[in-house]
Amino acid sequence: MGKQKQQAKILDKAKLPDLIEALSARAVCLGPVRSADGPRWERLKPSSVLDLESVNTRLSPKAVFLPQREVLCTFRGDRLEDSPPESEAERTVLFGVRACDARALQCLDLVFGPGQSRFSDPYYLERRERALIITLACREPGRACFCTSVGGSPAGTEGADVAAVDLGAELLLTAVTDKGRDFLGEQEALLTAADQSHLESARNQAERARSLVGAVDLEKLTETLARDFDDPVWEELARPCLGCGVCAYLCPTCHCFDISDEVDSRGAGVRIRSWDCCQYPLFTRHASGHNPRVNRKQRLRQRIMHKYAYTVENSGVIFCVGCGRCILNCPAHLDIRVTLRALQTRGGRS
Amino acid sequence: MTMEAMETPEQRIRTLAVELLREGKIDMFVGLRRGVLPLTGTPCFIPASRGGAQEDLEQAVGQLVWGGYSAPNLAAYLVSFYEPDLRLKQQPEKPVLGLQVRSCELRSVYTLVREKQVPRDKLVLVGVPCRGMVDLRRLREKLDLERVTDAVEEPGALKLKLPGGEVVRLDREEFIEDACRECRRPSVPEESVDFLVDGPSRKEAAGVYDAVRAFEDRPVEERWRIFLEETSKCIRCYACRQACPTCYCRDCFAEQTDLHWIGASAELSDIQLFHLVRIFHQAGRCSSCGACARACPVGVDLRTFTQKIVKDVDEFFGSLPGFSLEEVSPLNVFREDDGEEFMSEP
Amino acid sequence: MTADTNWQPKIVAFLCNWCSYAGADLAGVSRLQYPPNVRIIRVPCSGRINPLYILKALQDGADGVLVSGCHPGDCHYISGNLLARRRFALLKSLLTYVGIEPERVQFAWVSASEGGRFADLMTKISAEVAALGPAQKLVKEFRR
Repeated sequence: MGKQKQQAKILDKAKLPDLIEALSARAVCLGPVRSADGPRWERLKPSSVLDLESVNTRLSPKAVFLPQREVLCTFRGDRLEDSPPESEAERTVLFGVRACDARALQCLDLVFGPGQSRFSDPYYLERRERALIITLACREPGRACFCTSVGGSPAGTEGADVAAVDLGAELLLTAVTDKGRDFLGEQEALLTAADQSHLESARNQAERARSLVGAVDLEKLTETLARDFDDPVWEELARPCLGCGVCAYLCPTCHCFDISDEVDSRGAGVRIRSWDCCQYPLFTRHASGHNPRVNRKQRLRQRIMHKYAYTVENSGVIFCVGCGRCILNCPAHLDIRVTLRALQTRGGRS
Repeated sequence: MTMEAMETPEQRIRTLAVELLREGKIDMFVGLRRGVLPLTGTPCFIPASRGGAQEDLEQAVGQLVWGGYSAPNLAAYLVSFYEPDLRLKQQPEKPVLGLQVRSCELRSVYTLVREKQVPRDKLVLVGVPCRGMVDLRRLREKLDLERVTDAVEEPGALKLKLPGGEVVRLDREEFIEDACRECRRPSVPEESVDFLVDGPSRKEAAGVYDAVRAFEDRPVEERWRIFLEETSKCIRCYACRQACPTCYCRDCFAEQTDLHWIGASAELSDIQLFHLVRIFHQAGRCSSCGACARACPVGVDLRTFTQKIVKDVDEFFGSLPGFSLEEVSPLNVFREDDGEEFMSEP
Repeated sequence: MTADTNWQPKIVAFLCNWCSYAGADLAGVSRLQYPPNVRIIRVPCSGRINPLYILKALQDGADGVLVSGCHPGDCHYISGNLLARRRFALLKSLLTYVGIEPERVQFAWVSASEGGRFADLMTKISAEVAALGPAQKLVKEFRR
């Protein structure tokens, strides 16, 4: 308890512009900025109006680590040129990451290394190393949130360096990692000590938020997915899907990418990595023209299996953090909770 | 008064659907049912044989809804039912589909039929009236839509329930999609469908191209600035293309690599070319349904640009996609007196 | 970019083989002077022009694009230019609408015997594009 108090600090919200100013001096500071269409991840200025009330941003912060377009190398004719220069900034500070999005980064870490994978992605890792994640606990979940059903919680601190809780006029900041501890140390001038009442408020808020998150029963999911690969229910479930890519692009754990070369008329070019989506017909099309996932049913099944079965097999983790973005933004209004429920209740009936 | 006259459009759709399915006139009915989130509609596919009892069909059809639910253009689902499976030498029998269509969806259907993507004789078209679709984006600007627990649509109002029991009452017309506000033909012509459901439709809009004209009147650098701003939001997800019923190319120009027209990423110039060419490809084919803008997750204002080509094709060539099988695509024909004002002289 | 006083506009001209290309050739053979800023690409017919050709030229840094074909009624393939006329009208209108300067993308009819007309046209277009400065709007940053 005493140790926790030592690591917990208070920042008066009125001092947020000062904090941003201090951070912006040596870091790229990003946060959810208010906009008519909901909060957006943007570079912060002291004058930025942060949106700490809305449930979440439309686009997840994964683009900070896995950009939509990334130049891997440049070439001229058949000569490879030097890698693009790294960013000048010492650090990237992400302020206001929701617990689900922070957990999602840990999923991406499994894919891009270090640790479990034999291959490490230096592009991703370099950005990860430089980043400081400050999470912001949710006070009220949205209608499409289901983090608690996939191992998360609104005030969860997995993936955070510093965990922030909005207590109204103040933010409670708690160091979660050594990096976070150092950060709080650096900002000492702006912070005051937290006391029991602060911690109590934060705990109550977390409990309340947790109780409000809608639950999705996933108990039979693993067994269903293992057994019902060929069940005709997949055909039904896939019909409303437009194959549009919104779910994967907005999903904080989706990470599939394409690598392509772009060359100008003078023979100079780049090799780029860009986001891809398993729902696109071209995703698995071979050079021969054969496509093992030629129809929507196969592709939708792949998405569900990848997120809820294969990744569990490979790394023990469901690649879904229950952020609800796919539900909120699907143009055909498919709801993955409905899909998962249908699979489990239908399972084995054929 | 007959039973039929007392039916609401929603009830009539259900009655028709169950009749068509029961009598074996169609293999599947394609309509809309309520989405999980308030005011959303999701496509509903009801096969004729459900392997179960009568009640099963009644229950399935009971899900069908009619209203201002924000939903995709149902015509976007048709091509996949009728495109040949290239792996097979012998093509299976294609299904007969019953389809619930608003006016804009119907125009898309007719374009698909004229372009030989979908056979008219395999479709049983159920035309429905339309009072316009709720604009979720506009609603989201007004309140935190994610916290709305339920919503009821009335002829003139939207009633939204918030946690704690509070009910917010909004003027429905204020939250109707721009595409619907500017709809020049909200009513389905009876002769263009197999069944017409009676009910209230919006009035035809006046000044359909006002927004485009207003944009045309802006100075050139302002137009570019706006185009730049909008295209900068794009993440190349292709939701606009997938939601569009008349974008059905198996190999979209945007993804071709044997002739690499544009790159795959969200590079700004590539994004701009993607949109310019996609819009160009819609010339004479866009039914102004707004599904593209509705689908866009990042709110690119596509309609300011898509409606320009609709206006141009209309004003230059007197052509709008309609409800006839005899129409010819305006880019497949020419007139001796087609305008040349745009051309250069030394 | 614009500080370079030696900058000369780069204009790409898609010329149809039967009329415009021959017209350009005639200008050359007749020793008619016109600015050397044009790169000519020969196509069988103006009807062959895919809007993407024009856009890609702009994307790759062309300051101006000209598409020229046979006069209506004279098309070697009968109606290629007549169908193209509709496409070009729409494309020009759309590009102007989004803010591309109209002088950067131009369309003309030049016949095989109109060497002088071609030279005059090129002189005019070159001056118009030069006045606008280097094209920036649709240029792709290939290396970023």
